[in-house]
Amino acid sequence: MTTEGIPAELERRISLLENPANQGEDFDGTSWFWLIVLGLALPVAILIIGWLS
Amino acid sequence: MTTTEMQITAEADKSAWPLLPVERTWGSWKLGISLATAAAATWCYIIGEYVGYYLGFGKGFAALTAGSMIGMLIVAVAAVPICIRFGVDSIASTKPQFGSKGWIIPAAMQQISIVGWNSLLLIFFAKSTTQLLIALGITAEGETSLLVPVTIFIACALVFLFLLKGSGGLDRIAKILVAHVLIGCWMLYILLSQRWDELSNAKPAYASGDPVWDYTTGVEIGIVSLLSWWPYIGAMVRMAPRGRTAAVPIMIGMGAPVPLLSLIGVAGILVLQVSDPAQWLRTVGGPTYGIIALIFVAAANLGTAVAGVYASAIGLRHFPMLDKCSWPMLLLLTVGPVILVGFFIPELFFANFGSFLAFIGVAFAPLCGIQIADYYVLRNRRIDVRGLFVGKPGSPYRFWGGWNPASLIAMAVGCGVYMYLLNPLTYASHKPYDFTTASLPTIVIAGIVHVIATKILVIPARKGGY
Repeated sequence: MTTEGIPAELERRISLLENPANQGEDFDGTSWFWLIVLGLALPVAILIIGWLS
Repeated sequence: MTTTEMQITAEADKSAWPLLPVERTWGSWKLGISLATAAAATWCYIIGEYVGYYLGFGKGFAALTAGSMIGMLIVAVAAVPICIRFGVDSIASTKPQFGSKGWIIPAAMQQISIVGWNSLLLIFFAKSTTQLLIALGITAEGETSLLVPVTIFIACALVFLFLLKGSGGLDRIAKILVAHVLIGCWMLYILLSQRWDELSNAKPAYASGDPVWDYTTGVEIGIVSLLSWWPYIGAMVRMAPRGRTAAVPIMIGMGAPVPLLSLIGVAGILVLQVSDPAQWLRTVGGPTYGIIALIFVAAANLGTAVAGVYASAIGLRHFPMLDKCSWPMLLLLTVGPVILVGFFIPELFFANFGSFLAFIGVAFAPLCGIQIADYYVLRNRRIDVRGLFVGKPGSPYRFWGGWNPASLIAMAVGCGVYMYLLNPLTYASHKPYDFTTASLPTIVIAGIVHVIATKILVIPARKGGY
């Protein structure tokens, strides 16, 4: 059974996920802190140390 | 949960449908272990081998670690936010940029990339097995012609069986196979403790004579290798519901094992001129060490192949003709090309790893730039979840007949920029590659072109849901 060509189960899922309360959470401030430390600050430090060694 | 709900959840796990909060049960540890199992495979040795051509051990470690962590950050920022918010895979996350039909471009890139990596891993495993059997006297040099394809076939059959129950198989195999990361550390210890003097004095075989170029190339190989995780990451992070609990597992679980295990390849190629630990551990410690190394290779590669085939199968679900296809048939479609490569062109494929790696950079660097610019700059994080799955006329990501010219232009320009900066086949480079790598300018320029083209072409036409 479909709604506008979409399977009924997919339609149910989309309808639920259109409510932000049912969505997952994007990166927050803490996430960004770790992303920048591990993905930017740490590599820059390692590059400098590696070049000087 | 009732039986019916459990059946629906199990079906969703094998589909490209968005997962609901109740179905997304992976916490930090589970996600980190699964990502580490996927990332830690014998491609690390080959990646390490390529870095070891240009750099010594210390500089190689620094360049590869820095490049890998930068590459992981790029993939995390590009694909993860949409995947984690809506419980979707990497391919669904490209529909806001490429359109309700244009997503076929990243989907094709995903299939080529995962089939390529899986072929490489399983050929590596088959070659290691052959070498060990020869060393143990079980088979002779001239009797191995069928051994490589048969081993690849058995490995593919195991992957198929592991995944018959969906991501549950991925989770179960990850819990067991993650132990191979520790064996990898032990192997590195063996090499460092027994050959440190040789290692510290070893000269890279193909160093260009320009230390800046060599160092940058080490960083570039690290970045490009981690861009390879783009096709894999969505299918796994969609099982976790929160960005906060996913950020560190992504960076540590998927980003850090690669440079760590690649050191085995760097050290192997510098000291023993061979990156395959199944070969050099036998040289260093005899047949017993060779068997341990082979078990490691098998565990590492099977775990990654399982993750790759799962991500690839979920990606195929987006094709309407495969939406209703049974799960076992979908798995067969995914492992089939790997078996064909293993049977017909294993040596040809294995010998062209460098070109394959460069293809990853050419393809995925502009894709990541487009995704980042679209999500953070143009859409300010607003995504229409219905538009990810409904592509009829009038839907937000329909653009022009399902294709977005802005992302196509940006993709073409990005590929051109990469190939200008670093020729994927010859590794000949143009300035400012020495100081910027090829991937980073490609990401920035593709993102800028996407923003400009969208503001000139798409937004005035009131397309794309901006």
